[in-house]
Amino acid sequence: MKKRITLTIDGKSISAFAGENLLQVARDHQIDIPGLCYHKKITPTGACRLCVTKVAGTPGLTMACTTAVQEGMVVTAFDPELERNRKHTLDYLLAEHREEKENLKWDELHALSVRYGLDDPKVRSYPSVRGKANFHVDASSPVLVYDASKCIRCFRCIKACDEVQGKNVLSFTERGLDSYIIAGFNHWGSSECDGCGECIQLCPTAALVEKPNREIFHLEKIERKVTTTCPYCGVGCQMELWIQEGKIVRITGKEGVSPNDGRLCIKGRFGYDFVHDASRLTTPLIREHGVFREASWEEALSLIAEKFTSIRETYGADALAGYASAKCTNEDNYLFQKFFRIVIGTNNIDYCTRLCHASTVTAMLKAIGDGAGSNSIEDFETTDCLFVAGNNLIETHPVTATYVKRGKAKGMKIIVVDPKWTPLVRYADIWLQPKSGTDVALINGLMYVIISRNLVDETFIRTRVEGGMQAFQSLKALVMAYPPEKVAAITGVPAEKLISAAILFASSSASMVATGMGMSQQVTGTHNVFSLLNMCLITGQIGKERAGINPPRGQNNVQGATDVGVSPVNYPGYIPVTRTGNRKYVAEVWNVSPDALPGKPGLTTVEIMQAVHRGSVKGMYIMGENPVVTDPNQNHTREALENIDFLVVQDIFPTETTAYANVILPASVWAEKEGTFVNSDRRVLRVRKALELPGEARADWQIILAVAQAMGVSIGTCSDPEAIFDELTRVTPMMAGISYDRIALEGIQWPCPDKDHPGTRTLFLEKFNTPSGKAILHPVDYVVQNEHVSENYPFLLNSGRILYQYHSSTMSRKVKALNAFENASYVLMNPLDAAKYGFSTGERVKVSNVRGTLFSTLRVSDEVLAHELFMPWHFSESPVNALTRDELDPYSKIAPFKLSAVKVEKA
Amino acid sequence: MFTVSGKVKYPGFFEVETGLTVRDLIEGFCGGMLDDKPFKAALLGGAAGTFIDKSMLDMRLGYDLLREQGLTLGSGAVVVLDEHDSVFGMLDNILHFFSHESCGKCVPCRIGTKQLLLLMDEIRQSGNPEKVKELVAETEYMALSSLCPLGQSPVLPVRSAARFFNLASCE
Repeated sequence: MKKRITLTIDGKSISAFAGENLLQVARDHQIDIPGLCYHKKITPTGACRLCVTKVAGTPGLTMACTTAVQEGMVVTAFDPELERNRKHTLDYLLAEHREEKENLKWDELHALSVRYGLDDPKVRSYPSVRGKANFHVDASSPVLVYDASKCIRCFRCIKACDEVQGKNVLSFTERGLDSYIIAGFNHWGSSECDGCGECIQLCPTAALVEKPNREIFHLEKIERKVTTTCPYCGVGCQMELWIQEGKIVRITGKEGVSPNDGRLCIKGRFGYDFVHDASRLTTPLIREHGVFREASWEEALSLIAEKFTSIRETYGADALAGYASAKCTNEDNYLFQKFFRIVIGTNNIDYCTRLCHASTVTAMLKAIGDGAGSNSIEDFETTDCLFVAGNNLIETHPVTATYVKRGKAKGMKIIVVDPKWTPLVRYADIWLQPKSGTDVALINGLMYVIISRNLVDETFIRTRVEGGMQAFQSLKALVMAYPPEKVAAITGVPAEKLISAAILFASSSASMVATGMGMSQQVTGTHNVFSLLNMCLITGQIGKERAGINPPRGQNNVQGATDVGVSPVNYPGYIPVTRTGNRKYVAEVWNVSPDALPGKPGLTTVEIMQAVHRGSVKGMYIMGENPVVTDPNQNHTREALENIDFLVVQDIFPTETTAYANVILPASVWAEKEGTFVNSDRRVLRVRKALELPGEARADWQIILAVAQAMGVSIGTCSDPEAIFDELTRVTPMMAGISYDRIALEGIQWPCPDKDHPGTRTLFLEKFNTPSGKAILHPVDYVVQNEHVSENYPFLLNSGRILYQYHSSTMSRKVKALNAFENASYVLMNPLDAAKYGFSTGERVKVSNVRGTLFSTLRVSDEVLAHELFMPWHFSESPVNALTRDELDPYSKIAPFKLSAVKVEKA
Repeated sequence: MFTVSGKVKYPGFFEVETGLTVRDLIEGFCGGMLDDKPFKAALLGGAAGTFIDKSMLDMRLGYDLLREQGLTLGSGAVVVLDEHDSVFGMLDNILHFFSHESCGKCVPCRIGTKQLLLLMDEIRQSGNPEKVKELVAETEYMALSSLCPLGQSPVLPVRSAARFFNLASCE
């Protein structure tokens, strides 16, 4: 328990907690003691010596930044002697510094020189003492330039890299005046730096500056800074867009707010080139005789209205289907599903969640009643044991991973389950490397150990699990068929590792699960997550602080789109469409007749494409998705879209999918519209308009309204995104208490049922969100995969993401800095296989199976097991989905992207 | 334990009781001054120590006794200089040592140790006694503000050298 104490600074009585940092306490009370090496995100350094104070009873001067406050402390922060001393130190610093004249950055040293009357070099007392290294410049990184002549050696960049981001790339070289910062072995570009730019963000001078736009950036020309949410993954990082002459010229992390407290990754900070790319769609296009021609909005809209209407009249509403977008705002998505339900009259709407966490959400909804992460992002740092299953967290959720690395530094235990090595393995206490597709056996094996060693939480099972010990007994009966030796034979994971992992997970005071695509993107995806849930439930590692299960979401708004009703089975707020009562409730808010709302569940993403292929779906409206690259079994998708009667694609760029469109509508990027996203920890976050739309492009929500209007149906008086949001909170009970006003500064985590509710950090503390309020065990058996290696197809191909590209790369491959790090497809092969089949790194190879063929470059790597391969799926010229199956998980309809039998030949 | 080096006949290290004098060390243990040249100065306690002149030859050596005189025994190292040696030159050497040894972490030491060398150059060229005062003032600022004993140390040799010798004339 923290102890409140009282201290006095310059005669002012101040209340603080014992042990708090004196400098921070003073600044928090508007006593502005100068200091350049201190930053509240890092440990104190005591290097710049500007925060000198006098503490009664302590001889000499005391640095405020390295002093903990105590009861009764009497501090002098300002007197003539201290100010003389500070001026002296500043004068010293200026003697070694090259003045910032390029207006690249707000320079804290310059600001202090003005404050102490030292900005004019003529009044300074000391001759220049710049060391030889002072002229060192490292411009080898694609994202930043380090100029030692502007460096004050404050350690902030080093600690930003170590303590804030957990990367440990930076250090000093040389000594004294000649010391300067290096990355790796004194060459930024070849170091392990992954370009997150936290060092730039914490650098107090212009020693570290972003490389992109360095030539044009000018501080005084910045028109405005707009706070918004990152458009890449589902962490939901808060960022500031710096706008100069109507363009984004820099992005920085927003300090002091959740979920990221200023941290960003390389995509967030540097991945914005695409916004101003010349290939943006700027006018509607209509395809005629195989070529696209420009069209007016009026013409495009009336063509869409005419075609959609005629398809509906001829074949019925279910002959139309829509893909919404995890990249678009809640407001866009809410209107999209409302459009399909009211104007078209079908529930055939889905989006990429079906390809990502559909199985996770399905299992979680059935077992615990909510399909979203049970915890808050901070818990990734504070839990005692983190169990990461099939999630390459460091590359795919880089900022969440910073919490994990900080937790690890403080003693958190980490168990990684992944058939492929990921950077997180470096931090893991135990790495379980099961053969692809054997996860249910693995988790059942862990539960065998937990049960046989009596590490079960019986009280939890009795009080919080439906059926109590009886339900447990039937689970036990099933998992007792999975002793470690048998599981070792199935999975390839040694029995002793299984045992240690099971003991660690069950006996830690709080254990938390993070589950990813490795678990979900399988034919047994739902079963995989049921197993994980079973394990949490029998050990009581859920329903309390710092414990639970979390699916970090891959896209900025993949959580929100489902939350607001883009689902073939649910209305906003996970309200099933099949119940008459629900239809009445929603119809009332939407001001339509309940009979007008279809009660039949719609088709899911892959089912829609299959229906197109069969010819039962004749028309599609795709908003911001690229299914030709992202859907499984690419040749099948292409065939489907070649034969579709009418396809509308609304996007920001021409994509592999727009090529098949009859009409292309130019839409908006996230920085061109107002709205909200929901991140992985259920935080409803604001998105703000910072830029004007290019050409005739329109905000997505406006386009949907216009299409509805062209079809002669009003979908409400949705004049602006705030009005749309207010309406959606009326249909979505878990967001009922949220408004733009309340989330102006910081997001709120749903459920937030009323306007006085603070939001919910941890789910299920009191009860689960099931009808009984109790969780439900779902015992599941391991089933051997249908897809397996054979003589003709001796490899199992796994697919996934890398840090530097993003999904189908529509955005990220238009970013110079990202491409500089990684811009080509590769396929990883185990050294044993490479030796056996005679392959070597760098060789061009043909990867194929019955479904398709692609070409890529081989890399020999022990990151994968023998008989397994891995490929990033970002590169459309080597489309992994040419090889994947559209055979689906029966419960969630997710496709098995992680497991395709293939052969490899020299190209 | 004293280690005596410099211009004495028999340099070496000696385990003795505290309370003896520098004269005892030179004459009693080291066989007197090398070539019997007159004693000029001794540096007590190494680079981060203090200079004395001949007026202090009969002062008793002990931690408290020296502290009362504003001097230090430090490591017990005693470097003896004769009349041909330059205290200014020795001090310059010591300040180069500090400048080289400064790790660079804190500002007063990183930049101060270099400023001291520049001031020494100025004194050498101008002979201006005001610059000697500035030199002492810089070391006092450094002693007050530096992070570790390295930056806090130059004040000892500088202040003592300025006290016993005419640095402005590069004595």
